[in-house]
Formats: sequence, structure tokens, C-alpha cells
Amino acid sequence: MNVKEYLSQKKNDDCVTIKTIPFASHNIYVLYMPSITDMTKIQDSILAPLLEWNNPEDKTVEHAFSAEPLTILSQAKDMDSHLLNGYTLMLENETVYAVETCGFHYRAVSEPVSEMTLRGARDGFIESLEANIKLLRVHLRSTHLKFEHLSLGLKAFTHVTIAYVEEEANEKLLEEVRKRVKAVKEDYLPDGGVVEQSLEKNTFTLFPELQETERPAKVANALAEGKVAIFVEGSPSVLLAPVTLNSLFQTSDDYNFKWIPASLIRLMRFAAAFLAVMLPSIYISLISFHHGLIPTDLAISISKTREGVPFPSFMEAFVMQLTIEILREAGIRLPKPIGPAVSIVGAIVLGEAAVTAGIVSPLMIIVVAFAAICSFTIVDYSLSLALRTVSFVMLFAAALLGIYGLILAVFILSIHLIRLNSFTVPYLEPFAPYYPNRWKDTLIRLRFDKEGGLDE
Amino acid sequence: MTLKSLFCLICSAVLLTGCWDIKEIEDVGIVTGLALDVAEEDHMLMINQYVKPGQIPTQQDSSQTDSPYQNLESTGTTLFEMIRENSLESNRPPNYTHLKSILFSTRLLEKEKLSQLIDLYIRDHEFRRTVPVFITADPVQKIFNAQPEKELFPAIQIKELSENYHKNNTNPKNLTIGDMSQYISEKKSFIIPGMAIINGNIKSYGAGVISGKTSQYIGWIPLEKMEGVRYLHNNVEGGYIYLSEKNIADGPVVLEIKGADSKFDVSFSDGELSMSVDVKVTTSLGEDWGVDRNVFKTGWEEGIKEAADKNIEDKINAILQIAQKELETDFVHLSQWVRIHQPDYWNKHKEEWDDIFPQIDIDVQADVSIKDFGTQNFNMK
Repeated sequence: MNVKEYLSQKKNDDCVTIKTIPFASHNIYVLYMPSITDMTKIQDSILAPLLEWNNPEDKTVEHAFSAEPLTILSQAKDMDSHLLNGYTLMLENETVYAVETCGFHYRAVSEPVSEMTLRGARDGFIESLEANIKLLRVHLRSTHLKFEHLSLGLKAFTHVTIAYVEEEANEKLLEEVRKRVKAVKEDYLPDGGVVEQSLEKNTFTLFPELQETERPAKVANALAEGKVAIFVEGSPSVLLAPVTLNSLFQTSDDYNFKWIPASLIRLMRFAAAFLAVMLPSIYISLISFHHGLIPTDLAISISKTREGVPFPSFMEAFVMQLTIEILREAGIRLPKPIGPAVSIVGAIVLGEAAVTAGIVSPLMIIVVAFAAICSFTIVDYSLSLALRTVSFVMLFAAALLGIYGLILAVFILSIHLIRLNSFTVPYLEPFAPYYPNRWKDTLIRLRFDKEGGLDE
Repeated sequence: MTLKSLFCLICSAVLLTGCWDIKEIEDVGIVTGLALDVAEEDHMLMINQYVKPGQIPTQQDSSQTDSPYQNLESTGTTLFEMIRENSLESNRPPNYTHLKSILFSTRLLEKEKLSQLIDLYIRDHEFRRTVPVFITADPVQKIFNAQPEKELFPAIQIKELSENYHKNNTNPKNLTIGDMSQYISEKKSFIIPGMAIINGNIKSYGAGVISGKTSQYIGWIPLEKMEGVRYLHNNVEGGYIYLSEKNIADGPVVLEIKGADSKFDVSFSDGELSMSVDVKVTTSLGEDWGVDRNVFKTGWEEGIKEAADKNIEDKINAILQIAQKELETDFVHLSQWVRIHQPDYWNKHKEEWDDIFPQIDIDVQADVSIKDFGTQNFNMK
């Protein structure tokens, strides 16, 4: 490592400030990037002690610092990355010291927008890895909590931290996570979502292989259960692995309220997810294939409302589903104050007008709208995206072959889900493979045992 | 590879099954009722009652202009032919999955065998086995054209009426086409709930008897005698017993039936079968026209009980009289008790049951208990 060469190279760099502090025998160079460092920190804890220090001959610069942890760097690559992380470098002869002085700007801790809960911790992760780990420590104070720090990205690096609780996390799982994280070969990883996708093995599945959350409490819970969390610098979303379909339906509200109502609500959430996927397709297969399965009075009134509708029921359902999806997307993209208003007005006006114009039957609006509302109860947004896509597949299957087609599609979906693994854990665990002992926290959530764990 | 095989699977599922029979609900002619009668020249007449969905009144628009149903009549010699003849007149092909009632006329069942007539309904998967069957002595057009007040369709009105059997003992219990096919294949006689037009309204009106031997209509049980049949079928769930002044001294009384249970016993001695029927009826005092009665006095119900016992015995005997002497066929299914209690005898003689049945001595005993007199007693003397 040639310190002189490095110094001259940095002298031409506008972003790096170099201060020279002369001593009798030699100079000490202090290097930092002013845009990402805390000036007062540099002034108080580096420059001031250095200037006051009378430099006895036999002592290195290390002795000027008492509290600040000082790292000695040995490679040029490390020097660059430390500068970029907001460290201040001190070059003395051939030795390079680094002091942490970073002054990145982050937003304050606030409640996550995409994950709402009624009760429980309201803090949410922010873009700072360090702050996120601090937030996690608030919820999980354990000496067994371990972190492994890694840097990903070939051209621009992103800090990634694997967190787990020792003795809880399965060693095999941990190995798999480490292997996959280290195998990522991307030039640049902008956000947690990209990291998630580069860690996934099944790139063709609709279902998420990692769970994303912005709630420290949720991460703490998951870690205590033996999962592994992956923090990504610059991203408020923390990835949890492994994930099962069952865990995607759980929310912290389930645990914070009494077990009977919480279980009923969870059952309802499962039912709503089922309806969100199946209701429109069941409806069209009933009205266009199996009229005999509808109660007579309902059949007559459906027949009446559909009279004069120019489209086959499949087209009707497809167009309405598509409209709902467009409204939903528009609601996300629009600025906050007008977003909800536009989607509500859009839904009411479009639905009402479509019915009065005789393009769509009112029952179809009810069915599609109800399915859309049901889909909002799905806790995890990636799962919601997956299920919404599946609902379109179901719609096609129903239009093609009625209930028979639906059953075929459900079979294919089941086969897919059973084959799916998330970090060596079967996706449908504990239903398939069948572990009835672990059903205590699945469709219902059993009461907590006073002696720990969920009651038998 | 997996993707390729999945693709092949979907393709074959779509292409090879050929199950592409999409049919929108508004293109289907929903038939709620079906009636069969005789027509000229040895033909049959079939009426299909179609729903006209456009005429169903809604909450916003209750001004009904046209009747909500259309009765399509067709004649022919086979049922299939007549059903297909519908498509000459109706643009919506008939769909029988919502069939609510099948109505036969007595004239048709005198002429044709019921077993032949229901063959299509049992054979075709579109007909449900739970569709109730009815019989009428009036022209079927009259019943299918009556304007029901509370229902929209006469065919549904007929069915709904028969579901009142737990309120009134003279209403026969529903007979589904599935039960009917069972009776026919067992060669048992049975009754079909009857309907009639009285003052322009559809009314449940007794029952028609179908002989197991010929599978044809042989006689009618009038409305007022239906109660006896219900006791013998052991399906009494409600109803009332009216005792007039003639029977009890203190004034007429109506007893409300809370429940009833009939017990049958068959004894066999000296080559003679004899049956006993024990009917236990639990009632409460429903309506009392005798002002002088004091229900707080013990034994107040003695006289009423005796009169009620006799009343029920008379009703049952009247039916047995019809079954044994007039029609000489076992439409109340006493044969099953013989089969249960005297299986050896039954196995030997089941072929000639219709000849044995009219000769059997049947002893009827009724036991009415009055459990309750309500919340009222005017007489505090």
C-alpha cells in the first residue's frame, strides 16, 4: 500500500477534504468527505486532540484518542470504502487509522405506512442500518442476538447484515442464508426488494420466498422463533427467512389481543383470502355453467339482472377485476391527499355508471368489489400481489371449464405450493408436511401457556 | 422441463375434455313447474312453466305489468318429444335444475302407468330426485294459471303449501320423485299429495292413491280424512283436534297437537295376522269455548281426553276402511310393520300381501294426554 500515491490521488478529488497537521518529524494527514461526515465530531474528537497533542517521539497517533474506537486499515480498498461510509482517515507515515464520524442524513423513526396494526409497537425501520439494529435491540435484548456484516455489490457496495438468535436459528438455515447472500453477484443493489429477489431461488413463482417487514417488533418475534433476518443499508424493509404461507397470514395483532377473538379474526382473514382468490371465478362458473347449484330465487334474480348485459359473464368479470386493479394502482401512485378520494370516486362513479348504462350487472359489481375488499385483509403485500394474480388465473380457468376448470387450477396451485421451498423449509408447513403438533399457531392461535409457549 | 409439462397439462385439460359448454344464465329457460295431463287423440299434454326474469318485480319498481311466468303447452306421445317441442316456441331451452313441482292429473294416471311417466325424470340427470310430485283432479292448466297472492309462480306455491304439513294434519307430507320411484320399484301403493282449485285459489286438497299393482290412480282421499293417514304414517308433527258440543258437555274445545307417536304391533296366531295401532298424542288446550270449565280442578280433562281418543280412533278407522274395504290396497304402508315384527310370515306371503291386507283385523287405540292449559282460566269459582 502506497500512502503517498493514495494521498496524491485524493488531492485531485473535490469530494475529499485533506487537512495536514504538521508535527516535528512528520505530517499527519486527515482525510474525510465533508458531505457525509459530522463536522463537529471531526473538530471535537479528531482535530482538537491532534492539535493539542505534543507528540512524544515514541508514541503513535493512536495515543491521542481515548474514547473513539480506532481501526487500523491495511488495504487501499478498505480506505475507499471507509471514506464512503463516512469515516475519517488519518495517515501517519505508512499507517492508516479510521475513526467513525459519519453524518448521513436519515428521516426520523415513524410508523410504517404499509403495515398497520391496532396495538403494539408503532416504531418502524428507517434507511439506516445502524439505527435499524438499534431499533431491533429495543425489542430483543439478548446476548444471543448475533449479527454478521457483509457488503454486497461489485461496483457500488451495499451493507447487508444477517441477524439471528444463537441456539434458536437452525445452523443449516443459517448456512443456506450465508451461502445465498455471498453468492449475490450484482453490480449494485438499490433496495431490500432487489436483495430479496436476488436471494430467491424460485424465480418463476408468484409467492414470496422471503417476508418483508418494516416493524422491528415483528423482526424481534421472528428472530426469537428462530428465523433469520437480513438488514439492508438504505432500505427500511427487513427480510425474514424462511417464510411459510401460514406465517404470511400472521400479524402482531393476533398476539396482542385475547386468543379467542384473535383466532376468530385470523380464521376470518383466511376465509377472506380464499374469497379474494375464488369468489369472482366461482360466481362466473356458477352463472355460466352450473345454474342448478344456485338457489332458485337467486338464480331468477341473477337472470333478471343479467338481462340486457351485452358481454359474456367472463368478460364482465375480467373487465371489472381489471378496473379494480387499475384503481388500486392509481390510488398508490397518486399524491397522498387525493389518492383515496380518486379511487373511491372512481369506484363509485364507474360502478354506478356501468350498471345504469347496462354494461355490467349489479351483482357482478358486488362480487368483484367484495373480492377486492377481501384482498385488503391480506397482511403481507407480496402475498396480496401473488393472490391477486392467482385470482386472474382462476378467472380464466372458470371461464374455460367452469367448476371443473377451477378444481384443475386449484390442483395445479396446490402442487406448486407443495413443491415450493423457502430456504429449505416447505412452504405449506405445518399442513404439508403434516405436523399437527405445530397447528397451535396456524388457523387459530391457541392461548399462551403461563409456563411459556402456546398451550397444547 | 417442468414448465413444458405444465404447459402440456393445461393444453390437454383445455383441449381434450371438450367440456366447453358455457351457457349464460340469462340464456337458459328456467322451468319451475311441469304439469302432465291428457290431450286429444291419445296424446299427452305437457305444460312447462317458464320464468320470465324480466317481469320479476324488484323493490324499486313494484308495478307489475305482466305475469312473471309463461306456460308453454305442448302435446305428443312421449315426454322427450314434448320437451323438445318447446324449442319451437321458446328461444331459451328449458332447464330443469330448478324444477319445483311436477303435477299429474288424475285422468292421465288413470290411463297411463306412472312408472312409465316418471321414467324420464329418473333417467335424466338434469332432474333432481327431490322434486315433489302432486296430483289434481282439476285440469292442470287451471292450477298452473292461477294467480298466487304471495308467491310469484303457481308451481312454487304448490310446493310451499305442502311444506305446511307440520302446521296442519290434513296436509299430506311431501312426496319426492325419488321416494316415488322407490315405491314403484318396491311395488308398494302410495299417496300423492293432491291439489285443487277452490274459488280461484290453489289449495292443498287431500291426496290421490296410486296402486302398487297397476301403478295407476285408483282413488282420492278427501281432505277431511287425511288426518288418519298422517297417524298411520306416523308423521304427525302438529295440527289440532276439534271436539264439538256433541262430544263433550261443557262446550266445544280445540286441542293443539304438540306431538304424536304411533306404535304398531303385529301378532300372528292360528294362521291369522292381527295388528294393533297405539297412538300417543300430546296436546295442550288450544281454544276453549266452554266458559264453565275450571282447569284448576284436578280431573278437568277426563271427559275431553275420552272424546279426543275416540275422535282420533274414528279418523284412523275411517282410513283403514278406505284402504281395506274400498280400495283394497295398502297405501298406508302397514306392510313394513309386518315385515319388521313377523319377518318369517312376510317372506312367505309378501307376494300376496294385497290379498291378505283387506282381511287383517286392526285394532286402533288412541291415548291423548293434555299436558297444558295455557295461561288463562276465566272460571275462578
